[in-house]
Amino acid sequence: MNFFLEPLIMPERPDVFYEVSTARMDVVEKPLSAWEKLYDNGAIRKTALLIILAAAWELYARWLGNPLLVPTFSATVGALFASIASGALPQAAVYTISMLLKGTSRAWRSQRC
Amino acid sequence: MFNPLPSIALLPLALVWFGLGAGSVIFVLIHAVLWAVALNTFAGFRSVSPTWKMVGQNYGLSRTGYIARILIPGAFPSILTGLKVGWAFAWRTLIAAELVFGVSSGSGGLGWFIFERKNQLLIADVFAGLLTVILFGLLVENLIFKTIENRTVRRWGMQT
Repeated sequence: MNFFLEPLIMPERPDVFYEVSTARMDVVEKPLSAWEKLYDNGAIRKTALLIILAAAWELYARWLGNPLLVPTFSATVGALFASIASGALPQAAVYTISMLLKGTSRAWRSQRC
Repeated sequence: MFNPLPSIALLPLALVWFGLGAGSVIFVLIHAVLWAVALNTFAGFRSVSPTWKMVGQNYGLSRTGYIARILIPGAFPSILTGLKVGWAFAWRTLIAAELVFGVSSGSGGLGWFIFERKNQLLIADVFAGLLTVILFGLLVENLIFKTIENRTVRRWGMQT
């Protein structure tokens, strides 16, 4: 009468053993393409961007053909190395940095007083 | 109050007050750095987690110990940001001051280099000077500040 109080009668079931093959379930790995690997490398990505920018600069300057407005990138790099070699640029840089450090040390000193 | 005032605008006044020497440039530089660093440090101190503050009080730290061991490390990301912003301000202001101000003593700095070469119409040299300014900026950012960041904020796990 009462459904819940009746003993449960389960039919006898034979044990079953399944043989599971793991032969074709090795680690699934999708190799990154060469492009993705290169793009993931920060140094390479930034270098490539800089090269693109430099090429755009060079092309535009050549197309403009006016070194008084926009000198070419190669001319700029040449001027950079020439100025470094002549000592004018390092001297100016040392002067500026020494001014910056002078300000720093003076600020520290006045803070301490 | 002084933060929105571009410090380079104070240069004429500084020239009157401190004369044509390094003093006026240094006054302008201090003005450039001070507010950025102060505001960021203040914001950092205010955002230190109350839990850490209570831990510090629980340990019975002295006043200086509390500041040195709880407040400053807790606020260090903000302090570092302030220092970075302050460095950038100082660098930019210094170059600009040299452009306006020219040579005070010796041969002049990078800003003067750029200005002088522009007057001689050596535009490639002007660009070379600009590249040098950028290079120094990147150098300080990537060597000095990166090292400080790696040794403190990243090591403490406050920034990923």
